[in-house]
Amino acid sequence: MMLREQKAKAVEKILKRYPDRRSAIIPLLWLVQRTAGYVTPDGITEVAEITGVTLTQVQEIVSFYTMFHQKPVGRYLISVCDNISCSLLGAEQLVEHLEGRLGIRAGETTANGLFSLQTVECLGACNMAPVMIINETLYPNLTTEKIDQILKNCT
Amino acid sequence: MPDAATTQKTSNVTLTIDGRSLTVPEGTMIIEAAKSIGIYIPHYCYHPALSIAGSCRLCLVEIKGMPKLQIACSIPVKEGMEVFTNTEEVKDARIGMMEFLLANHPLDCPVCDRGGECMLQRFSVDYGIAHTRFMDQKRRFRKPQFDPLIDIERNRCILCTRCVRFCDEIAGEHVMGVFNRGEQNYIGTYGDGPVSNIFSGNVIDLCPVGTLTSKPFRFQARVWELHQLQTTCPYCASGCPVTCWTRDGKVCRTTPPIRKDKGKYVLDEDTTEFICNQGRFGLDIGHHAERLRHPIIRNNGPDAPVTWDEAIQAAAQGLRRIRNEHGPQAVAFLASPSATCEELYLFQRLARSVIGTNNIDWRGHLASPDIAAAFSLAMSTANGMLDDLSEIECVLVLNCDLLHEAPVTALKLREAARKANIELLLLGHHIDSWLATHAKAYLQCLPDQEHALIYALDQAIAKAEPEPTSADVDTIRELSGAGKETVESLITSLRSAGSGVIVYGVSEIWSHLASTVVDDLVALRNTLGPQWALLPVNPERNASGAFATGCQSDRLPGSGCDNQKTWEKLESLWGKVPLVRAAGLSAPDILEQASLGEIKGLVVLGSDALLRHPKPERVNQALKTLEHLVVIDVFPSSTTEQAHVVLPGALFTEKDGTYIDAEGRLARLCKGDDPPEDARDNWQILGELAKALGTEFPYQRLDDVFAELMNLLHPPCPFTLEELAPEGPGAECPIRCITKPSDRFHVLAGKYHALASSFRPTCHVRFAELPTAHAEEKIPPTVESGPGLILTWAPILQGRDHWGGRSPTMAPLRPSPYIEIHPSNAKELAVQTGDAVELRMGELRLLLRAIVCAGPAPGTVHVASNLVDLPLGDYLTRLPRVQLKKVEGKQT
Ligand code: SF4
Ligand code: SF4
Ligand code: FES
Ligand code: FES
Repeated sequence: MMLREQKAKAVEKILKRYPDRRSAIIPLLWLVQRTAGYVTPDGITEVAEITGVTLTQVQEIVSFYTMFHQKPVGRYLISVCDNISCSLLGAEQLVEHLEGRLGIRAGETTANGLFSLQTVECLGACNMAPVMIINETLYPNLTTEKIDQILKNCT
Repeated sequence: MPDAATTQKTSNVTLTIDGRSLTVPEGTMIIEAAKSIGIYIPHYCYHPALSIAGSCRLCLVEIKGMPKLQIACSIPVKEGMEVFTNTEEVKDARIGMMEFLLANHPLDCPVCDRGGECMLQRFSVDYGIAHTRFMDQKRRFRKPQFDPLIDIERNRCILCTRCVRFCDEIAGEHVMGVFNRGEQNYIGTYGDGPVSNIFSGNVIDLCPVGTLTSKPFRFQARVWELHQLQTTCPYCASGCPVTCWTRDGKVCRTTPPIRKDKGKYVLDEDTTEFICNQGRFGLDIGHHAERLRHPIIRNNGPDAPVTWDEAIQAAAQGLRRIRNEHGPQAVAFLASPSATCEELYLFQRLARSVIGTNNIDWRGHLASPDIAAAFSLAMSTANGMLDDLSEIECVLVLNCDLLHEAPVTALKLREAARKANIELLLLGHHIDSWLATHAKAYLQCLPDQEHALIYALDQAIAKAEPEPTSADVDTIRELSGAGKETVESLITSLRSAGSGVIVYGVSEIWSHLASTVVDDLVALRNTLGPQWALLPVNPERNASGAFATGCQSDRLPGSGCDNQKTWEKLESLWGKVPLVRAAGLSAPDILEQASLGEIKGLVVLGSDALLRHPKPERVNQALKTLEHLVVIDVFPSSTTEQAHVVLPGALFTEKDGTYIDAEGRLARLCKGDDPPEDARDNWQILGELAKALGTEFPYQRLDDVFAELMNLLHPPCPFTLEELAPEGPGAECPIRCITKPSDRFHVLAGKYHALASSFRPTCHVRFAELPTAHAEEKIPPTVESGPGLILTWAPILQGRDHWGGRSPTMAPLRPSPYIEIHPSNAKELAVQTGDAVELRMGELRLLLRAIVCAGPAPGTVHVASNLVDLPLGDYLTRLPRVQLKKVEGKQT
């Protein structure tokens, strides 16, 4: 019940945007994720109820998009591009470096809940390769030094 | 019917496929066009009943003038098109596609249950390559618990989405889905829960590979080792043809009917004849431990098994004594509507010509003679068929939870409505919420207002004006609480339909309303005109057969309007014995007279109807008072426990015979096993009983019984029982003959044909020559006054009161006791689907699972009466009110 109660206005606003309720599934899931940190099972149930679809239909969408998290993630979600342009310019080494610094493997979250690390597909920023995104900020032309600097600022 | 669709259907297109010219309707896909001239295009994702996915790309064909190969499943034919299905390029492409599909496949055929009927195996033979170029690790998924009866092995999945589309489109809920993406795509349900719909078993047949297989059948046998028994499902009046796959007579699995392919019978993976889970999983009870296996004579001592001879003699002796001492009217006969036509015919012959009484009936589940009279009226005015839905424009369903009474009939109706081939209208105090999603309009009303609503509709339609008058519309609105548009559109649909059928569920018409409602429906049908027909749906498999064979006190076998002639014909057929023409008692009267001691001897053929009686105490009281009770049955029950002689009979897989379904189709039941131990085929038991009573039946074989019965129907069936069997000339279509119990008998040589054009009301007989013995008392319809919600009820197919309730396989699919609540009432109670609610009715407290749906009318709630213990027998003349309360913290 949390979404409709806590975020009643936001839900209303999203629903108004679309003639068909189903179209609101993704924005509503996004709202769930921003509120709870990830897409919670309760959130899925609620989105299904609001939009009149089955739980399976919502889950299909959640699991299709990697930007929806099905498990809690750290405060800083580091997404490193490992597609061709970035790889040619050393993305693999950057991932290794991050893994070493954070003490976790890609796909994991640090014990203190501060960092999550993942590799992602092309971020559409090949001209600035290699790149990564932390939460919603893009960091271009990376080197290991730059990464250390960036991590220092994350607390 | 929409004009566009009609014109579209009529324009044709000519094209060539592999050099052969053909003409097909515009809009046909190449794959179907090819099939129509016997050219098979390999495919996985395409299925004729489902929407087109175009994902497997195995159906690639070459089309002249197109630069690339095209998928035959989603390219419609065009005038002058030249298609090639077997060129080198096409073969090459198929080999390539197969390599893709097999790249991640585990190739575990030796341990896969699909082996032998797998489409992946089949096309690998034609287009597979012996090696793989895929070097990486194959992807692997964990195996969840999933559904109680459907096994899932995701590694074998080729993601054709047939299962997903079936659940979404046909079963009506998107419960299965494709999760993740790319290489990690997999099939499943949310949280790996069950595939929760009553048609779910069909995904097993639809899956072209071994991903979805049957759990009860898992590792039981290889399909080619099994014997295929083509027969008909014994569970409901939809009357689906089915194939039982048996080994040593034991049913291993049940599927839709098989088809002949290259001289071999195979399961058709493109079958559109879906069956429900009850038929698929519930037929395995032949070898049940609790079966009756030996005849029993009960003399107040322990039940020692006796020989058949002793048992038959004891049974006959008691009956003879009562007949001699008290006259034949002191004996009565109650049959089960699940017995075959042949058994029922012999049973009533036993009653009428051997004992000499018309006290014979099949309606042991009815509580009052009034409702029995309504049943008689309903059955004798039945003439509707839904066989060829393309010939019908409008279907009105009154008070019928068709999904839970005759699931496949519901499925066919919903499909037709979904594809806009028919206009579906729903009416009454309890509508089928599953059908409601595709209904054009529905009207709901309180149970005591039904006849008024039907009458008002009748009046509105009867008027000559093109538009319904506002006064009529207002009356209907007042009764139904529906909006103006809804009422007007419903009336317009009814009036403008060129042909239509009124379907109604007889199990939801209570005694005090029954006759009135049926009367009103007949009047409405007459107002709508001769192009409209009535179709009462009895949940029992062979209620129509019981009616047609004269297993009813006020009905003779096959009789139309002229009973005098039928009496004479029967007398000459049955060895010139004069038949007693005194009125017989209907089942409710038989029970009453038995408890009064007037009826002293009773023969029961199958006790399942009696077990559904709303007042079990009344049945027990009646049976206890009897001097002599003979029961022929397959399972022990409260009835067999009271019997003086128990004769163990045969179950549906152990006997031959025929059934007639709700729509009047005759279907052949085939024997694939022997009855267990001493149990015998019922028709032989009846013959022995007759013989012991001094009349030898002249039938050598069951065929003779069938032939005699069919000769009483008009016109007679041209086939013998033998010819209706799988390889016989009458076997071309799965259900071969179409009969209306009262006046028609259609035989369709090999193919269904348009019956709608021959719709005409049956002669409106009220079986005049055989008066009902009981004076008809009409109690005015009432509902208990006071606060609370009105309780209504009906049995469901999946309930526990039938043989199907014995199947251990079906146990996990049986719904937990539930109560349907209308959304408006649910809101007041703050109840959601899945919540536990407490029902209070006087002293009674029941914990039920809430289902919030449009089924019950606002102000009413509905329960499946054979899932709960409710003293409903006290409420035969007035409907009870109940209080509901949400039970906090409990989820059911
Ligand atoms: S489970 Fe079977 S039917 Fe469903 S997508 Fe996979 S292969 Fe197709
Ligand atoms: S719909 Fe009725 S006849 Fe058909 S399979 Fe189900 S129970 Fe059997
Ligand atoms: S490949 Fe990394 S941004 Fe495109
Ligand atoms: S059958 Fe045509 S793409 Fe699958």
